[in-house]
Amino acid sequence: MSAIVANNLGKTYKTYKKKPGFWGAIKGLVSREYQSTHAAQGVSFTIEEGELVGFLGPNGAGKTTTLKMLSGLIHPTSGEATVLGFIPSERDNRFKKQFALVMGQKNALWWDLPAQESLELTAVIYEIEQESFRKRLDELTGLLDVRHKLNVMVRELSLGERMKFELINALIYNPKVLLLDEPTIGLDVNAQKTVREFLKGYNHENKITTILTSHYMQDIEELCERVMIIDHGHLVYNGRLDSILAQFSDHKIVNIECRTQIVPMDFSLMGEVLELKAQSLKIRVKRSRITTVCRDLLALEGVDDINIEEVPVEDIIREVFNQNKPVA
Amino acid sequence: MKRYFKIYKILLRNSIIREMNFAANFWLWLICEALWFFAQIALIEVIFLHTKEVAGWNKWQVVMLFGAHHMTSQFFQAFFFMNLTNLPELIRTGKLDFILLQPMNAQFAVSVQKFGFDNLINGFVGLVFVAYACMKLGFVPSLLQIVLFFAGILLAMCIHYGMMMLLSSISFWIIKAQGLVYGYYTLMNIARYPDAVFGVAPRLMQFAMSIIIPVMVVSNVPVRLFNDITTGPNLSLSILFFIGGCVWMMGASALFWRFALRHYTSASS
Amino acid sequence: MSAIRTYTTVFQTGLQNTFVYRWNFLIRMVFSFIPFFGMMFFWKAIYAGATSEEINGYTFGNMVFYFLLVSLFESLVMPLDDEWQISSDIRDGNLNSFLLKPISYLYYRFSLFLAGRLVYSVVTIAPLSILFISFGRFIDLPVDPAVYFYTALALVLAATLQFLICYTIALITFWILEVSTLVFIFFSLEYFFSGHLFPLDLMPEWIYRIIKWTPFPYELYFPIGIFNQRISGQEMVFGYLVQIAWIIICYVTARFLWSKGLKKYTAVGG
Repeated sequence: MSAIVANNLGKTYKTYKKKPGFWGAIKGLVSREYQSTHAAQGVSFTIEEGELVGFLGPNGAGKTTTLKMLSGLIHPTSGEATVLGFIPSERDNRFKKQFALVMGQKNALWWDLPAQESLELTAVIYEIEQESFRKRLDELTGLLDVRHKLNVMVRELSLGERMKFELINALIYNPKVLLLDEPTIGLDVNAQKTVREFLKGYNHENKITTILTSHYMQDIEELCERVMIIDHGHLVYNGRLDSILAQFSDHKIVNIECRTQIVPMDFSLMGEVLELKAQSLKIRVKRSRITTVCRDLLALEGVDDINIEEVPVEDIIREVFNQNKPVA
Repeated sequence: MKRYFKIYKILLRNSIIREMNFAANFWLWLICEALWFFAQIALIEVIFLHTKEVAGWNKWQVVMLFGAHHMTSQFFQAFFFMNLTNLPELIRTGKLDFILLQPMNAQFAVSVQKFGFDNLINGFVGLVFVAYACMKLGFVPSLLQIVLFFAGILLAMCIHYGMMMLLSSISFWIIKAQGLVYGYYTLMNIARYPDAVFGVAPRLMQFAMSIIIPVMVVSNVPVRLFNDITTGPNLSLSILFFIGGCVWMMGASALFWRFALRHYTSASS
Repeated sequence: MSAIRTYTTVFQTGLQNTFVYRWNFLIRMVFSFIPFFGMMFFWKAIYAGATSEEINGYTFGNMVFYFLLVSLFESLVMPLDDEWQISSDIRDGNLNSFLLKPISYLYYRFSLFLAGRLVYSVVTIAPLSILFISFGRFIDLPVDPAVYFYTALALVLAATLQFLICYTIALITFWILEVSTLVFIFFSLEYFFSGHLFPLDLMPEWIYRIIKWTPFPYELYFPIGIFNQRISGQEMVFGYLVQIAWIIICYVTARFLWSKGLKKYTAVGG
């Protein structure tokens, strides 16, 4: 049985259109115009136990909505989901003990108490035995290097430390599914790195099924082998990260550096010129033409260095959004 | 069930820790609420400068009523009030979502988040005034009367809880809900008056205030039972309304909470 | 004058803004009449048990009229959530957008306050009218048109003073994040000494002699007193002077706190 199954999930809700201006506000008292927002439509996917899947999409694409539907916080308006064999919207206590949701920039921990107190409360709520609680706490705080901060008030912790404790709070009861909504947002580079390494290691060690939504390509690149891309509520891609490159990107980028001034000529015949400086050139070339273009560039006078790289995944994703092809 | 006691023990401990960190706040609120109570006692003093009795209640009986009311509302505030009025904040910050994710009853979780020690102390201030009023009246209560009195206070707290819970649940629809707290205070305003005062009010109004929104009985019944005050509306009937009102308030609030929560999970994004 | 244009726009925005809080207003409006009814029955019983028809010169009818005026003037004068909003602007760092704009925060807030008062008064007109009509037999309107003018003046001063007091207290948020306790203490004192609960001349003389130097009685008791012609002549002028004095004190204090507070605010980075 797969860990997570989503079948045609959809969420539509109504918002009131606010009329502008003073008289609009008064009119708004009597008659209201509704607007239907489709936060998610026809989202279907399956995730097996132990997978670490990335969930990409622009703001408002429906990532958080989907995660909330998987958590039971929101009832889907269409379709259904099963997580660990449970229907999330039934909010069975046994289900709740087996998964965790962590949302970046939102605190589950008590703001005005040391993290230690919040964690002890979690232990009692989730009925974790004292001995195993202590052991696990020790283990997790050690891994994330926050043991010395256990007795500091949460409001006085740095963003990075707070996120680490949020993760500990989520993992302390050993859930089988971990849902992360933008966990690295707002963190500095070092904190991001630590969190990423931790998540990767933890997922590997404990085979915990993980979904991670993020804006940062680095999160996705370093952690996820599989990626789902959602845009305007639709799932537009569901597959391996490296396959995106093959499927959506048929270009490469060629850089050359010259020790003398580049002789001006029409490079647009070779490909799309991205950057042309006195002694360097960056050009986007179709894969099929790479060898020919490289040969031609190398034939130029004074070429010192040539470099071929993939189009950044970020640009590819952006193109995917622009194309917005539904999943085959 | 035992788990819930354990959870509550920790929440209480956390509240103590928190209060110790914000000692200044604790004392300030203590003074605030005490001031409020003394203002009410001063009002009684001013009124009784000009009259001997109000609808058959003498001065110290009225003081007893105000004291009992203060006790009930302060003890209620200590346990539940701050948490219920914080519901809009929980919704706004998304903390409610985290509570909903936890494997425990959401209504319980929302109701007991923090404990107010300053209110607890003020509750005892109210009790002191009740005792003082007894002394002034030369009234020595029997054991039964004392037990009935405290039982009455407990049930009265349930009525307060039910009412505030109903009002708070409305904040699922209305985001900024300070008006609802105001609603609670103004309704409870009525509870301080001797019920005999409403003897001249239309029957329907009295009925509404006794059972639908049981403000007329919530503080009056415990005091009347305690001090055997028979002037005013029929005491046995009032006791019936009191118990009925308690059951109705607790039940209605629990049902409405469930309804509100269902709306929340269907309507939000 | 562009300043007038600016603040008129703020005022209009304030009006729109109150629509966001319209439910709050509605709820407050509905519930605010409950204390009135409670009061009426209570006082009826008090008069029933009293030794004479009059208590300190007030008959029961006078008393009802007094409380009707309390309900009316209250909506014109009392701030609603303004101190809370100012406090949260400071606490949540929303002041930043104001510091960049060529607008005075005080006058901005005052415009919003006035907008709020206007909406609240309009919204309460209907229920208040019902109230006044049902208790019409107790109303004793003054004949002299000058009285209306004097009352209006007292109300304008009272509203300004109320606003300045709540603004000044809210500014303390620069130093103490949680000012709600201070606000509460202040408003409890004010609730008692403003004439909300009972006409202040029911209190022993010596108490009144002290509090008439405080801003408290000028919120309600003073304008009501002018309107039902218990306060006039020298006493009235004295009242105006105290109101104006307190307005000046609060204004100066507010300005002072503002500049001191801003220094602290910008030093921390908001």
